[in-house]
Amino acid sequence: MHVQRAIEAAGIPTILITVEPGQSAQARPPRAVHPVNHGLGWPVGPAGAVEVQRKTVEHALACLVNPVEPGTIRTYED
Amino acid sequence: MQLSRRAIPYTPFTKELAGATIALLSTAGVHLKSQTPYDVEGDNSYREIPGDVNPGDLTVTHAHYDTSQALQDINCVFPIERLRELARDGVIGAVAPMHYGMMGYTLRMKQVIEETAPEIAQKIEHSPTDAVLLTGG
Repeated sequence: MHVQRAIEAAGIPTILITVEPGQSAQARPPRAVHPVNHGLGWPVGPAGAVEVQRKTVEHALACLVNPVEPGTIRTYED
Repeated sequence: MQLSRRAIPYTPFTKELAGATIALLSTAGVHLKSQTPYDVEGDNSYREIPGDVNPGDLTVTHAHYDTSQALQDINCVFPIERLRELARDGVIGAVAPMHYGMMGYTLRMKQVIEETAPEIAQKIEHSPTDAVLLTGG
């Protein structure tokens, strides 16, 4: 995602939640997480699934705090 | 400065999460119902979404994924209510005053790279935002 790279280059850390890891990898994201049980149209979680959505967001934000090599897309299973 | 495609820009996150202000940026076609919808044939524009938005005032316009879940619950692609809960519970410091929507489908990628992306980045840089959570469709 080019906008992610631009924000990161401007000095603001970013984390991407993606359900299309192959496509996202091509844009070389600074940080990304792939919730493997989620699908296109509901990357954060299914409609109405407040707890699932919250955990996904919390997990993604935790990836800001615990860095791995830039460009890595981490998998997440809920 | 134009980074080569191979280089990965990277800014370390040095704040405590509990004190950090977080913004959302979604390329799932999120916008206010009162804003002009995206052109599903290709659109590199963006929409500004205030942090205190009523989720019921948001919708999605996108032709390249099944939007039924997001139309039922915008948090599937734009987790503004989850972010507010995390701020209320002290997991994060605050919800940023402004968030961003794009459609993420354009035939004019050059314009996104040279115009849209730097413009959004500049706005975020000049706002009280410590990190950005991005979501696709």
